[in-house]
Parts: sequence; C-alpha cells; structure tokens
Amino acid sequence: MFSLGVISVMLALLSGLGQSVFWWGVLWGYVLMYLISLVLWYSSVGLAGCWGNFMIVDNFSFSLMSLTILVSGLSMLASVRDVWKMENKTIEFVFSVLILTVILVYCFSVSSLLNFYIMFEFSLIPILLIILGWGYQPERLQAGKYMLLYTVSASLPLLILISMVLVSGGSVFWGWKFLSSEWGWLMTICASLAFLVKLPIYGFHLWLPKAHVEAPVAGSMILAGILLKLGGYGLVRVFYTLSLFSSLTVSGIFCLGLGGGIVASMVCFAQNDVKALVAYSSVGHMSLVLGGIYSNTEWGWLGCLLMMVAHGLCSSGMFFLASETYKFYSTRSLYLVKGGLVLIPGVALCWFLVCAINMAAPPSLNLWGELMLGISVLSYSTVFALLTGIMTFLSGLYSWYLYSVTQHGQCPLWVRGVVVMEEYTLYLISFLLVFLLGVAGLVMMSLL
Amino acid sequence: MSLNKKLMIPILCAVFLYCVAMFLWVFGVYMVGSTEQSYMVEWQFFSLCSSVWSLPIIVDYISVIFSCFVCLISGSVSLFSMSYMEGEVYMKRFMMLIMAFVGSMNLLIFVPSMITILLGWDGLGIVSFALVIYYQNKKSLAAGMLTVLVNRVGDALLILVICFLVNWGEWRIGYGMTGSYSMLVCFLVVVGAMTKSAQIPFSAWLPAAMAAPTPVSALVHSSTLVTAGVYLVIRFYSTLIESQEVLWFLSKMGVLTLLMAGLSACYEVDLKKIIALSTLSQLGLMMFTVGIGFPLVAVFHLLTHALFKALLFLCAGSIIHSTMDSQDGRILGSLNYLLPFSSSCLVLSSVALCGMPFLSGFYSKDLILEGAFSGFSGVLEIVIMLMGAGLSLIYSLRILLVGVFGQSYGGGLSMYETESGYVVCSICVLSIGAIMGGWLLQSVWVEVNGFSLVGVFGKLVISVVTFVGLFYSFVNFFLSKILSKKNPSGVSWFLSGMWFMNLASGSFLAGVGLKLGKTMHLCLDLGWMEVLGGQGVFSVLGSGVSLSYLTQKGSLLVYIRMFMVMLIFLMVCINVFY
Repeated sequence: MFSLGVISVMLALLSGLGQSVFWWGVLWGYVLMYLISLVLWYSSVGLAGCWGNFMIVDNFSFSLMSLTILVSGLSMLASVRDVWKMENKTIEFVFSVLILTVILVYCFSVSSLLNFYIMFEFSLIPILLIILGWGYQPERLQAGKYMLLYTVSASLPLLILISMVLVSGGSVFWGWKFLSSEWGWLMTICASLAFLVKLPIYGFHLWLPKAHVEAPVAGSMILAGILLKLGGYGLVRVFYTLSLFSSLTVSGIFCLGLGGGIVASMVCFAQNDVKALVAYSSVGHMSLVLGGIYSNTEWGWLGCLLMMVAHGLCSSGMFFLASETYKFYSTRSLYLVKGGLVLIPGVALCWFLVCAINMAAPPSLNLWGELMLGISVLSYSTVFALLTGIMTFLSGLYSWYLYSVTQHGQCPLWVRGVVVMEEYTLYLISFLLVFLLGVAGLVMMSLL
Repeated sequence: MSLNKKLMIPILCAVFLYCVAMFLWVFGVYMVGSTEQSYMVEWQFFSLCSSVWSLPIIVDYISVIFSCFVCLISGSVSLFSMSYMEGEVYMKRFMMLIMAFVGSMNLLIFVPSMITILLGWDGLGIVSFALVIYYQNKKSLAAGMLTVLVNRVGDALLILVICFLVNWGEWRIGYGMTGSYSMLVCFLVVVGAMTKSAQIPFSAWLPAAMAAPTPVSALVHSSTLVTAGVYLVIRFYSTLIESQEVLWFLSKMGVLTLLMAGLSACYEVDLKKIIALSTLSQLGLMMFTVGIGFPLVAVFHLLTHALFKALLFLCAGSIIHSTMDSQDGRILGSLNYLLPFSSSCLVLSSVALCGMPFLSGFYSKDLILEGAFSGFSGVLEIVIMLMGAGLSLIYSLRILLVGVFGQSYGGGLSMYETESGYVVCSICVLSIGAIMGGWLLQSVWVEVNGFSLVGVFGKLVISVVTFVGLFYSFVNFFLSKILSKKNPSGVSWFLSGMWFMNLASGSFLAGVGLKLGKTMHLCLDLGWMEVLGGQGVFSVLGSGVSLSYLTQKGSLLVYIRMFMVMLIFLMVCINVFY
C-alpha cells in the first residue's frame, strides 16, 4: 500500500520530463503497481491483512484493487490515440486517471465506513472531469449532471445513517458489528440506496447509459470496469457492518433487482448504439451481483466477487472494442456498423471472444461467477430459478446480437480501410494481462 | 506457393484426426475391451462448501468408440473440405473452427461432470454458431441466430441443473444418484438435451442450420452436435431411471419428432434439407430408444447413424459441388450417368439408413424395433414409431429419386465436374464405415447387442415395416401426378412446414421479443423513469425556482399580493383557532 503511494509520487515527479516520457512512464508505473498488487494476494495472515487502523484488506479488497489498477492502466493504453497522439490535454488526462486510481484504491482498502463514504463521493470528481473534458458531444454536460445528481442524492441517506451509527455506536469500523433492531427496514433502504444507484439496478440506472455514451473510451472503461463495482463492494461492507437483514425489504429489493435485470436485458435489443447496449448489459449482470449479496450466503459473496472482477474485465474490453470500431466507422450506430469480419478480422476475433465471455461461456470467470450466483439466488428462493434462467438466456441473446450485427454482413463502402498495426500490440498486452489476472484468480480460489 | 501452403492445412488436420481415430480404435478399444474396465481420472480444482469443482475424464466403451468415430468422420470431412472449400480465402480460419469443434465435442464426450461438461456443451454451441454464419449473407445469419439461441436455451437449463445439483453435493454424472428436486433436475436435463438434439418444440433450427457450408453440415449437423443431447441423456440415464415420468415424456417427444421429421422430409425439395430432416427423425428414434429404456442400443444407433449420415452428407456435398452449387431437388437429376461414384455412394448410404440387412443401419435399427416391442411403451406409441420408421424408407427413396435418378430439369447449359481425389478418398473411408460399422461394433462390444424377447408376429411386423415403404414409393413414383393432386394444400403446408414449428420459433418469437424490448425502452426508460427521475425532478425544481425568483424580483405588485395572501391566511387562522 505504501509502495503504491510512493509510485504515484514518483510518477508525479516524472511529469517534469517531456510528455511522452511522462505518458509511458505512468503506464509502466501502472504495470509495476499491478504486479505489486498481485503480491498482496498472497497475504500471510490468511484472509485479512491490516495496515494500522486506517486500512484493512481482505480478498474483496485486494482483488478489486488489482482490478482498479489494471483497468485504469488499460484505459490509458486505450486512449493513446485519442489523447497522447492528438496532444489533447495529456497531462491533465493522466492526472485525472491517476487521481481516480488512487482514490479508488483507497476506497477499496479503508477500514471505516465514513472514510469509505468520503472516497466513494470523491471518486465522482475525476470521472466527471474525464467525461466533461474528453467526451465528444455537447450532451456530455447533461450526462455528467445526471450521473452526479443521481449518485450524490441517493447517497445522502447513507451519510445520515453513518453519522447516526457513529454517534450511537462510536465506531464504523468494518470488522465491528453494529446491531440495531429499530427501524430495520428504513436502515436497510438508507444503506442500500446509494449502492443500488451506483450498481445500478434497473430503475435507478438512467445515468449509466447516458454517461457511457458520452464518455471517452477511458471514462467508459473505468466507469464500467471499476466504478460500478464500488456499488457491489459497498453493499457487502455495509451489510456486514450494519448486519441488515430486514427480510421483507430485502426480499422486495431482491425481486426488483432480478426482475429489473430481465427488463434491462430486454431493453438491450432496443438500443441502436453499441455503447448503450453494453451499458444495459452491465445493468443486467449487476442485478445478479445484487442477488448474490442479498442472498447472504458464502457462495453468493464469493460469486459476487468473481462476477465483479470478471465483468470489470469483460465490459471494459467491450467498451475498448466499441471505441476501436468507432475509429474505423466514425459511428457507433448498430444500423451502420456492419461487416467487421471482412474489414478488421483481428478486431472481429476480439469481439467474438469478448461477446462469448460476456454471455458467460466457459472457461471464463464470468461463468463460474454466474454459477455461484445462481446457486446462491436459488438458495434464497427456488422461484428465482425462472428469472435466473431467463437472464442467462437473454445474456446470450444480446451478446450474439451485438456480435452478429456489428461483425457480420456487408461492410459499408465509406469505411476507411486502414489497419493500424500498433493496435495489435495493444490487444496482445491487454489479453496477456487479463489472462494473468484470470490465472491469479484461479490460484486464489484454489487457496481458499 | 501460398496456395499450396493454404491447402496443406486441411490435409494436416485430416491426417492428425485419422491418426487419433486409429489410435483410439486400436489402443482404446483394446485396453477397455480386454480388461472390461472403465477408467476415470479426476483433477480437482478446489472444493467450496464441500462441493468439489473438478474435471473428471472417463475412459470407457462409449466414450472411446464415440470419440474414435468423431475423429474418423471429422478427418474425412477435413479431407473433403480440401476440394469443397477450395475457393476459400480464409482456409485457416475455417479449419481452426472445425478443429475447435472437434475439440469441444471430445471434451463433451470424455467429461462426465455437469459443471465441466459445460466446456464442451457451450463450446459446441458457440463454434457451431460461428460455422453456420460462415457465409456472409442474411439467410445464414438468421439460421445462425436461431441455432445459437436454441442452444443457449439448453445452456441456461444446464446451468440451472448445476444450481439444483448443489443439493446433492455432486456434479459428476454417470452413476445412479438421486436426491431432492430429483424430478426437476431430470426434467431440466432432458429438456436441455432436447434443445441440442432438436426434439419437438425446438426442431426448427436443424433444417435452418443447413445454411452452413456442406462439410460443416456433414460434421456438425449430422453426427456430432445434434447427438450431444442424446449422449448427455445416455450418460445421465442412471439418474433418469429414478423418475419414470421424465423418461415417459422423452419417449413421447422422441416418437413425435420421428413422425414429424419423416413427414416433412417427404415434402421437402432441397437436397440438404431432406437429409437434415432425416437426421432429425433418426434423432427422434434415438431419444425414443432411451425413453423406453435401452440406452446402449441408442448409443449403437447413434454410432452407426453417425457413419452413414456423414457419408450421405458428403455425397450430397460432392454432388452440390460438382453441379456448380445446385441443391434443389427439382433441378437435379440423372446423376447416375454424370457422377457415378458419388451417386452410388449416395445410394449405399440411403440404403444403410433405411436398414437394409447387413449394412450398418440394419443392426441398430433392428435392435431398436425389437426393443420397442419389449420396452415400456403403449400401443399408440409403437404404432406411431413404426410409421415413423417406415417413413425412413420413403424419404430415403425420395432423396434418390429427386437427386440421382430421373430426368434433370436444369438449364440447357449445365456444367459438371468430376470428383477430385480427396473427395473420393474421404467418401471411400466413410463407405467402408457405413458397410462394416454395425457388424464391427457388434462384434467388439458385446453389451450393445441387447436382449429382447420378440414373438414371430413382432418380427413379421418389423420386416413388413422395413419394406412396406418400398412398395408405397414405387406406387407413388409411377402415379406421382395423380397422388400429388389429391393432397390438399393446407395439410401439405402443415406437414412440410414441420408442423408450423419453424414459423413459431423464428419470426414470431423474435418479433414479439423485439417489440417487447422496444416497448419497454420507450415506456420505461424514455417514459416513466424520466418523468419520475431526471427530467421530472428537473421540471419540478425549475418551477419552484421560478416561483421563488418571482417572489424576490422586487416588484411592488408582487409584494402587495403576497402581503394580502398572508393577511388573509392569518385572519383565517385566527378565526379557526380562536
């Protein structure tokens, strides 16, 4: 943890040297940070390691921390063309991403609910800067406003709850359990609402497709890859700390979440923008994560972790590919993007793999996550078998819909037929890293 | 040079696959057969809450012989695609897909665990999707989507099965486990297998998938992918037997599919689709056999069927390729003069399909018919089954009559090629299989013979059923004009359209689903959620702000009005409270 801080300071010092040294220095710094964060996985004390009172790290934290560093690094790699080559406010961009990474890493490792809350809100500022600063359309102002207002207004009840607990209980430390039987349902709703909007479940998701559509590729990748995971992580922590199991409220939110997941998956086919489709698909996946947490089982929590990591990698990959496709076609409309298999076979292969992973094809992490979540959801109630089955089917449907619509058919004549070699190295690096994380995940699971 | 390099790939694949098949036949069958034992190797990933996530690999008669046949057929298909796909630019991609397919099929065969069988099961669906949409046109895209979605239904059901099997704490299959939700689990497995094997509510995708290149059809949609469902049911049989209702359901669905596909095949004109429908009817027969309690006989039929059906497809592919891509039965004809080798092998495989004595189809089909008389089934079911089995002769003869014999109705200027050496070689290998396969299997694998008690009457009925189609077909062939006029069009539409299943599962469901999605998007996302969420709150706040701005604008009139309102309010309050 300390070394992460050191590295970020050193990176800041690097900014004095020229822009390209700075850019690639930061990228290599990310690789270094990623490797160091992998070391954290083998903590000698077993499940949790502590650094003083301030930080506490268990398997939830360190896997999400590694994910954060990986996805932020990849997002910088993905915007080499948009930002570094175009000299589009490079230094500011790097600092936004770097600050966001540091905030998120702290967010995933702090030990107190109040600190978590502060970091949770703080992370909005850099992502807002990225969306507003490097987005493409004027509509990004509205999208930013939606994102900010939805998440901030929904998390205010949580702040009140935290301060109440702090006053009455004296501590909001993770490991410490606060027990309160009064107003259980209200507490559950207050504690969940912030994270339900962040996750988001269907109904509170309006900010997400808007933000994704308007964000630059780095913004989309970070948003889908990490920021949504803050919701799942927060839910796990809050549930553990406040031990909220008001059964009726939980059941209600459970049903709304799973049903909403199905609706979101169906809304996917009504989209005509590649990015909006991917955004809705993540709403569907995140509803399963919600189910895993609310089922309050070991399987559910582990499955939720696996699903969050897997979805973070897969959806950020999809957004990256969407931006690559955009570079060739200069549009993201599903009616115009056709015939990628003829034009850019390498990218088409990546699309195929990523779509297969998105629909949870074996042996991806998504499948194991989905299986565990399915088991935990069914343990809550067998009735949910129907919902889970339909959602599994629909995830295959929209993934293949996306693939076949964009990659199959006749390529429009106006598309630039340029194959850029440098992108292939990018794919190579990213897949290598993703593969590494997958292997490390398996190792972690086998150690448990 | 580059051309040669490109063409090397299928030969290498074919040689490799033939070698594997040979290895499996020689060593695998010898090892399993001589010791009469099965082996299971298991690799455990991790165990969580006392459920073991593992990858078991089973080596027994079924898996070794099935895998051997798969490799043999896919080797022939690779050799065949040398000539069939000679104009293909991305030969490497095509062969990689084929090899991925063979790999996932082998995973499916050798892994008897619900959780790791998904590797092969999902892999088959995905790779077959990529193969069906191989040609870049709308028709193959539609067929591919139908294929992958029906397969996805099967995946979803298997995932649910895995979730329910946690109750038993065991995902390995193949021995008689049972527990809570036993009936539900069995039902889900059977329905999942029915999606892969295109049984009755899910039949539409199999004929549609003929949009794939013909080598793919020969490999994927005749002998491997579609038999995956049957194979899963056979592996799961020891658990299925605990819930008879599910087996009952399976046999009924199988026999209905048999009848439906047989009738449709009698009305179809596309050469490949007739063969696809005949595959479908044979799959129905296998499912029926499992349903009435003869899983090993079903395996036997599965294996022999794989051989002669792949041969049938390769012959059809050779005809299609040599006649410059015409596969319409109304155009083809008099091929016995033009392509004697392909058409003679076509005759051979059709004859094997309808159960000519001492060809490979005879051994398994005869066992199935005998089993039907002694299994757990009712009279009606047996009658339908006999009808369906009798139809197999009729549609086989139909393939011959529309394709091989008779007059050619093509244009005046038609071009014909002869078969290349690769095609001859691959067809020869499979012909030997189609002739000898049944006999060989029966002689190495004793258990497959089964034991059924059938009276003289039953035996008589079987032989009548086997040959009555011949008589009917001759009558039909010579009186075809009279008979065809008698058919009312509604019935023939119903029968040729697979009992309207392709209409229901294609555009109807897709249309409903898409419209529902669109409506939800318009009403919820762009409608109520905006009203209750972003835009609604914005407009409420906006009107509040403008009200507050109005009150502070500094206009004397507004102040006076506000004063008056306050005054009245105060007076009312005073009046009410005092």
